[in-house]
Amino acid sequence: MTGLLGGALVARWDDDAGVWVVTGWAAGPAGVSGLELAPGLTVLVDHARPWRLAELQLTPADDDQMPPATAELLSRLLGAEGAEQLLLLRDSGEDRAVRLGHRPGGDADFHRFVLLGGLTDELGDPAGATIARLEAVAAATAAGVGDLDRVRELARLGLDGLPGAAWPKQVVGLQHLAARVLGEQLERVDVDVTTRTTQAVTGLEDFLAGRVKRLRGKQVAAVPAAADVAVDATLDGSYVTAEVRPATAARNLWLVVVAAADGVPLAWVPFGVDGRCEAVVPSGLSAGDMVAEATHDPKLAAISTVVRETRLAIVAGRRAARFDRLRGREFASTYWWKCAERWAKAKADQAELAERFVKTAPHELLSRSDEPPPADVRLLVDEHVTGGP
Amino acid sequence: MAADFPDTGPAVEATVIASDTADRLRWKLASSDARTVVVAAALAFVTFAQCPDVPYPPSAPHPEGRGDPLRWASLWLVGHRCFGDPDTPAQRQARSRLLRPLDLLLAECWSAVAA
Repeated sequence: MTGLLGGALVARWDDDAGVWVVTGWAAGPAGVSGLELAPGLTVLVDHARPWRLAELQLTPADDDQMPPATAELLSRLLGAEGAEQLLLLRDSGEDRAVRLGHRPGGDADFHRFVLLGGLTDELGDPAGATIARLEAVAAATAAGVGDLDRVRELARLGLDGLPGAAWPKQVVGLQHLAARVLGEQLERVDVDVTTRTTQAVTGLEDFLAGRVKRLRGKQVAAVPAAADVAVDATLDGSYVTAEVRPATAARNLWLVVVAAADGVPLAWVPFGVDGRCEAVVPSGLSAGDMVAEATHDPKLAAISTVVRETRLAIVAGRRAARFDRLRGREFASTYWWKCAERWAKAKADQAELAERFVKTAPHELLSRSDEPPPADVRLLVDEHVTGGP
Repeated sequence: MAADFPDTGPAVEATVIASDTADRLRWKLASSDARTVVVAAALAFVTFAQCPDVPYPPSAPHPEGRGDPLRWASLWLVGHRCFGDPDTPAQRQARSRLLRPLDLLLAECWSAVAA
């Protein structure tokens, strides 16, 4: 019996790190997304091609007793036989990897759930994070893992996010679904929730059609200091004004503005207690000529080119992937090109694949051994993201 | 009591710096051992020196003959707020604690770049 994860999977016990690892595909130019689904069990998927498993990591408990929820989920992910094969590797005393066999493609809804679950931690925008949580719950339910504690946690966070906000009807539908996962019923019953659970996720044509957002003319690409921090930066004349959210994250935080072409440090400015700051940059530059980064250590950001380029490459790749999910090929190509340039500066192999994505969207560029992507790769949350990648 | 640092004694002439020279200077500043806030002020200084058309921030105080406007604007942008009208001795001292290392850093990096 196979599980929710498919493809050509290789399992091994990593003696140095002390974890079991199941590897699928190498991470692509937009990096990976994922979350801890049960105690000690983390699943990561390729961000641009989330139907591909990047890695499953399983960390033994301190008392070496695997929690029942973790053991059960492992079986659901790899099948009982695959889970047994994996766990035996540690006790075999051999440093070896075993193929779990080529399985049918993984469950599309489950992979979508993992991607969305990862996004909830990346989005600094509270509205976007709330929608991502609710959408993740819907995907998990469709994949048959709506009973996981992690899913119930996401449902609770999604329902409690931004109380009183006026949500579009698609989000209200997701709220009703999340309430059902928790065994609750919402007071507002203004949407028919008797439809199939996946409809809330996949029936969004009208909502998404032709509404691709882009950076505003004066908006400077901004990289947050951490996953839960969002930075907005705009150029007005020769001044970049920036705001970090939440403002409480501004303590000891600096805005670093660098030239996009060669990384020359243009300005370092500390954020004020109100979460805002203002930096002067040379005249004649446009917003696209520079990148703003929030960091606790401007010197490290300036010196470590590879670190910075890698981070910026992944940011560009995530933006590109988002535009591809929204069917915004033109914008996606632009960001894949930026992504490829960044990876090239970081001297990494991902540059080549990012360059191929410039011409062909990730869900259309398939290798012979690749699993077919799901018919619909769009995410509701993409339409609402205002911060983060 | 430490002597007040003369605000008007530029170690680096605030004349127009060529673009490529300014970029080399910026790299040099960013990789120096100086305090982050001093490097930050120096980066603002270089931009003002490179681009005389860039106005000082409207909210920045004007020294009115008590110092170099370029330096004051650079300090203001990195969050330094010790300006008074007139200054108190404490404000002058606080300012000099940044201006002194700022000028030393600029002079050191300028020498390296110009060499």
